[in-house]
Amino acid sequence: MAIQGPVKLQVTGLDKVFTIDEGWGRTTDITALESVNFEVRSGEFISLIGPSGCGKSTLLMIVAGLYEKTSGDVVLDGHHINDTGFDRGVVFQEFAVFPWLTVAGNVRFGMRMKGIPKAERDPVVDRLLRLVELEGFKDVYPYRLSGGMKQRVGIARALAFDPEVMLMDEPFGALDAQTRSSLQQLLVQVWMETHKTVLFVTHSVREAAYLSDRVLLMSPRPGRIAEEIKIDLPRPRDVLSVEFLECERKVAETLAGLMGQSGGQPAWVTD
Amino acid sequence: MASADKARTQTGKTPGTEERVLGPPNWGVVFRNSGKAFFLMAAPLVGLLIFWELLAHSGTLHPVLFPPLEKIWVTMVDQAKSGILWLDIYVSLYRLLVGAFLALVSGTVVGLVMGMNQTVERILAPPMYFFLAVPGLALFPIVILWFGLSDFTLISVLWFEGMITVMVNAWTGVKTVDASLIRAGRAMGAKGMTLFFQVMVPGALPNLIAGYRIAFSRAWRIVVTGEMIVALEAGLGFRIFAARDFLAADMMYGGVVVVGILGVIVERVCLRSIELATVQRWGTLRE
Ligand SMILES: Nc1ncnc2c1ncn2[C@@H]1O[C@H](COP(=O)(O)OP(=O)(O)O)[C@@H](O)[C@H]1O
Ligand SMILES: [Mg+2]
Repeated sequence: MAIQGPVKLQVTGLDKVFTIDEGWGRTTDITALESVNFEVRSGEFISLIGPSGCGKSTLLMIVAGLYEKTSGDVVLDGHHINDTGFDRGVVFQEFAVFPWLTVAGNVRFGMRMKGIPKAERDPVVDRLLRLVELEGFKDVYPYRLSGGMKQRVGIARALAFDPEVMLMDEPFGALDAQTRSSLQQLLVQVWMETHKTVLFVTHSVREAAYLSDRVLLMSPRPGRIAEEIKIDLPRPRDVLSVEFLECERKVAETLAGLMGQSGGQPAWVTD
Repeated sequence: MASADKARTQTGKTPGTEERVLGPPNWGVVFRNSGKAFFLMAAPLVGLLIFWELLAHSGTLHPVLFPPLEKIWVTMVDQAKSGILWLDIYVSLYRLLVGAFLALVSGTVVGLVMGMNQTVERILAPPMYFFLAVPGLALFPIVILWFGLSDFTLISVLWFEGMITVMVNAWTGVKTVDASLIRAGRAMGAKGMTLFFQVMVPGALPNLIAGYRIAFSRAWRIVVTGEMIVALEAGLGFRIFAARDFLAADMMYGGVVVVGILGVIVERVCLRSIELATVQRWGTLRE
């Protein structure tokens, strides 16, 4: 299932330095990203994996236009990215569903901002809620939803204004194992139906191996793309097949190597 | 993954996505619950009244200082019949509503702008903290110097005190809107004023409403005490204070009771209903 579309997203020489105000006139510089380079082809599902604090979220937020970059270039469909835009939909680990809007209201939000006429919004809302299996919950306020359901709203909401690229920051990281795997399956379905390009941040090896066409492995801080592993398995993937386990092992071992661990069972594998 | 697979194939859906079907209201439960709530609310008050009544009739306390309930009741009924009570209520409520309305509007606007704009915040935060520390009552002598003994004086102090209260809460509200909600709004294309009205304001609403509540109760205190200081022709506070000239304790007690009841009604009717329509519905408020 190797997708060979044209290059969609290109990140070159990206650096990010956070300057932290320590008070009393002192500051500390933290280099979160150093010379990050990669490209994503149209329709590809790419995972970014790396140890906690290596700058995965920072990278994703810069691509989203939510953080400023220190230097380097992010190009999407030939446009230089410096700000948020309707060509990117973002899904957050904290769900970030608006509690003051109903499920449908949340899904409509981006379309309203984009200026899509009222009459065109409702069919999209219905279609997306069906896609994420939340048909019956249109008029429900988010506090009544479980974490998994909230994140499905998050996904539907990010798809609603039809972005070119989906940026997902550990979207299932806050969910229990069972909900997580059912949402992973749902995401594969959604991805196969919508043909979106996806950049997916995770710290779970299994998740990365299950979902992606390619896994980009980041080094500990300052984060760089250290390795790249292709996962050339048909979908939906069988997580108990020998081929899958081989891929998973390869990702886990490479990652352990990046972190300076060698031999034994890397901590990641059980995730 | 295997167990979730099973759950999906059994129901054909991800677990937990079935819509709830609500039957007709269960009047028995509604009746019992509201009865219980009413009892819990009324019992302590009734207890207090009985205690008062026993004390007043025991003969140990001075009947002028501690009149029995029936005497207070008769006095208040007289006041109501002569129209004085209604005039007082009207005048006090008028002052409250005008002052509080001005306070809510101006406090909300200024507080929200403070939360959004750093320059405005830096300029306004220090005086805001200063005046937060000054009781509104302390301003009366000064404001009387400016505007004399008038409704205008009372309403000015009321407005100012209420505005500061609402401001602090609106400002805090904006400052504490969850950063991830702001990011989500921005990621979906909201900017500037749109971001402000679509994300910051609803996000700040729980705090804002809490501010309204505090402002209302403070404003009501200021109306009643202010009426004692500014000595206008009518008003519940004025009547309570005037009653001391006649040693009319029954009128004072009656006045205090009316003040309390009105305060509760205003709070329940005006503020509770805003709350029910917004933060309560969104589940961002726990009762
Ligand atoms: N807003 C910020 N201000 C200062 N430092 C930050 C900020 N966001 C992230 N960092 C720092 O940058 C590094 C990378 O963080 P992050 O991108 O969140 O890592 P990850 O998502 O891979 O766990 C961390 O060391 C973190 O402390
Ligand atoms: Mg992160």
